[in-house]
Amino acid sequence: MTPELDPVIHPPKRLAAMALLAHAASADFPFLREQLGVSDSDLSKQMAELNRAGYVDILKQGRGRGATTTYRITRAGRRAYAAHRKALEAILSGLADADAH
Amino acid sequence: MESEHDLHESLRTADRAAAAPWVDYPPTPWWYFPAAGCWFAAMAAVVGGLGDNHVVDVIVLVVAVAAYGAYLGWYRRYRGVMPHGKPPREFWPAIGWYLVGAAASLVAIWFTLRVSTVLGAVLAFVLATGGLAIYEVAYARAARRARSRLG
Repeated sequence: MTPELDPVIHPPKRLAAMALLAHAASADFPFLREQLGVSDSDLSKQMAELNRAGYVDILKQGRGRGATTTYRITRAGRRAYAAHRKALEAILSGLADADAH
Repeated sequence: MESEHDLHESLRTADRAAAAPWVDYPPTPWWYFPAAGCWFAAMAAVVGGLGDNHVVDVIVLVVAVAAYGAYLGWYRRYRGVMPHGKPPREFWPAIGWYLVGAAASLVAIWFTLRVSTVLGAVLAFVLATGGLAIYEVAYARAARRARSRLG
């Protein structure tokens, strides 16, 4: 059976965001933006997608210039990321086996 | 259908991003090391018994706990992320030595406190300040190695 890749996580920016959040207690907006190399609006859009899927919690604190946005992976998100990563590795190992024969 | 190259690239992207909370961090401010030393010295003094008046012990303990909470909040905002879970393999030796050093320091401080509270507090200051400075260097080296492996 071919392992399934999660279409919500698979786009590179969202995959990077999920991998990062899976290894962090939480991450702030500027840190994620810098790591992903995206604009403010693009990051908001990508994170909104992950939030809609129930993979990420968005925490907003304060108003105006001092406002901060923090992201945290949910339990469902952690499970989905682990399954996605496992599927990626399984596909690649299957391709490597096919190449060997 | 994506190519094998694309899938390998996806995995590399995930590996780089997973390491980011550990390897990408701002410079540690100079005052962190002596401040941590003072914190550990204060805790050692409380454990050793500052004096007959336990009110002083309680006040020092409350201030130390509040300072720790304030520092953690500040550091989380300063760093922008708090690493969680298994670190990249390059960090394992540094973290292992950190734990060994911390355990050995606690034992040394504990025995010194039995002789003299002041001596125990001074030892705690020296070991914490020096130990954390050494750990910082080892951590930076591990971060450089991990960054270079992940590209």
